[in-house]
Amino acid sequence: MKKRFSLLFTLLLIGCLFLTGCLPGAGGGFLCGGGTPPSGWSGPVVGNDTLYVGSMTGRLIALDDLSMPRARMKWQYPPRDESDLGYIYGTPCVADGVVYVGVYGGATRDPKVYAIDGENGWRIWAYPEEGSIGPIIGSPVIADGVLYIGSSDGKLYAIDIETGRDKWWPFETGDDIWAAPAVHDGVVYIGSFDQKLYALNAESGVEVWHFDAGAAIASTPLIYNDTIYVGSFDRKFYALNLDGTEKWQFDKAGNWFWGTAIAYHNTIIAGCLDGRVYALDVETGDCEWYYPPEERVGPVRGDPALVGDVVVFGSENGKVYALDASTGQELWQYPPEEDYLGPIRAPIYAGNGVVYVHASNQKIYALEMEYGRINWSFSTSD
Amino acid sequence: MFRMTRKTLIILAIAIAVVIVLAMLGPIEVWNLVLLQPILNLLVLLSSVFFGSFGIAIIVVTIIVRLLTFPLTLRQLHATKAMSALAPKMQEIQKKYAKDQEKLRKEVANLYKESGVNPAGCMLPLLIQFPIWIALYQSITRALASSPEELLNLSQNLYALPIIQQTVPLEAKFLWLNLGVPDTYFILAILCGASMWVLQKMSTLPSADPRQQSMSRTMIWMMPFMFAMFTLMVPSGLGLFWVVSNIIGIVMQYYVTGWGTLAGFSLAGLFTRAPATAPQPATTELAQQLETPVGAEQEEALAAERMKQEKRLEHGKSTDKRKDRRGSHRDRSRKARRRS
Repeated sequence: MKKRFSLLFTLLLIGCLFLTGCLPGAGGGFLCGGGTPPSGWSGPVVGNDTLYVGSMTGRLIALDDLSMPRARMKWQYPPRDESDLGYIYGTPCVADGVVYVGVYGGATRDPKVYAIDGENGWRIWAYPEEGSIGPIIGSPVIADGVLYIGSSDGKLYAIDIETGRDKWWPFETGDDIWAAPAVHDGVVYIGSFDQKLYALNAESGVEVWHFDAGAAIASTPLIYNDTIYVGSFDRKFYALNLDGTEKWQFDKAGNWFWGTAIAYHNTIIAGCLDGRVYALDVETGDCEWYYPPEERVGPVRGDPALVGDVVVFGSENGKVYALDASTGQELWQYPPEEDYLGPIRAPIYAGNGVVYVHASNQKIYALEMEYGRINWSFSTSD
Repeated sequence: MFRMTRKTLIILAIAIAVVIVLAMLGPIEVWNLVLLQPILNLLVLLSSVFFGSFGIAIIVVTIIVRLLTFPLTLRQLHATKAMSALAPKMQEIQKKYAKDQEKLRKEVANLYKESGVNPAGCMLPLLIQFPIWIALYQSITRALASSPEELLNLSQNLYALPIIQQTVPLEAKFLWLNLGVPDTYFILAILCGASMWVLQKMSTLPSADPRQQSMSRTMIWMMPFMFAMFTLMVPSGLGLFWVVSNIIGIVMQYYVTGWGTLAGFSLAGLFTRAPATAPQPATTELAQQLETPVGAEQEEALAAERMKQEKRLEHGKSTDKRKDRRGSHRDRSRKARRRS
């Protein structure tokens, strides 16, 4: 009887788990519907010959000896014997030897913004010191001694980087903020899920104007030649004048724009979740070229990087592509052939002839810019 | 030579088409294209129609899917009822031919044939509905996109309609719930467990077999308990779907079989062991009628009919005795004639 009972119970449990498609999630609780568990997609950034990145194990990692055949771990925050910070989606930001990072939070830690000493990995301050704010997905941006960061509680925070305290009362939008802000000429630009792009006075946090897009905005605006360029979930890419009026819109894409665009001479280059990268004329929004011309690569979520005349981007299909920025011609792809790294959702960082990629296989790759050959790779999960 | 009927040809053609499509696109792609994406987009569209409320969208889609699969549910309910009514006869056969498996199989097949019951009738509609249900709650969790990765996935499953693109990301707040995370107030878990218990209680048909009785008792408590536990762990959007689905199930069950074993239920007897159900008459028709609780008047009528049936049976037995007596009398007179 007892045996039969336990058998019945086990069968029912397995059956129900199968039906619901539920699996234990990484951050506690259950993940249902056969979806993807959260892991984070922090991009790398280099400052003072050190590379900083938020790992998928929830730690801020500093690597040095970048020009050696193998990079070396300088420090990690929190240290190995302490619990992790949770998921990290934002790319760290470096200013005056201090690294700033916003954290999504997880099972053990609340979402916060951290200021960490770039030399030794010691915590300088955390915002807020007590309690928490909404989960952070966007990266922080620093301008004139103030750190600007958006949160899923719909607020844009302005934090004094010296004290770690509010510079002005957080500006509240109508929905989540997943984008990073952009600061230009004393104005902060921020997109929100409430389908608006806001322009705020950087000194006071007061709204100057807002622009209504057709859907949520999760991409960071690019300000180039006195024009604001931003993509939206309505599959459109907008060019706005600095007073918030629309200049043009590009509506030929097949999916959302999520990553930040880059500017190259007279073109704006933006990755799209339809698996293509589009180069648009800065004045008219006409499509100059798109890559790939026929088939599509996987969705391009992360920001592309530009070094000289080469644009580099990563794709959900696990490959890194380098293109000629003026023609869209492919120069190389890594890894070649059928191999792949795992989905690349993090922004690419390029500098000193090296491309740094943080792939979902929890590895940092340093690729030679010219030919796409690998210099070294470093596993952040060890 | 095997002769193909029109029906067989159609089934064969459908099977070949399915295999070709699966081979060309892959099973996941076919699943997404045929089931997941239509339901997911319908959910998002309805969210937009109902003022951005994803909770109302879940309720409406659950009702739509329940109505669409109603004919299958109905067939399943009827088939289960018919199978249950055959149980006493089946036991008799099993006892009678316990040592002769070949004969047992033959007799069981004959029983199904005579009573017009298809044993696959219970399972087939259920199996057809399973993928729809799995796709529905996959759609609910995917539409909620509680993490950035989920939102990225969602972008690949939405149709290119402006109304759908504008609605995403969806509003996760509904009543006291955040549909993307488990309900911390336990209300949904209690509702889910209670509604499932009622449904289980209504749908469990009385049985004369003590083993089946014990199994039914376990199921009545185990299933609601497990789903209540799941509701505490999964996003409350899924819990809401289970509650709504159970309520619709209760309504459907009521119209097909009435209150079932819930009819004689009292709160006082909730924790006391129910007495074993009296053995049912072997007559299939009568058993089916008795297993459909339909009010006191009809129960009286059924009791009267049962009495008549028993009388008929007794009458049949006495007639048989008389026949036997007559037969033996005839034999005796025949033997006497031969002797003379």
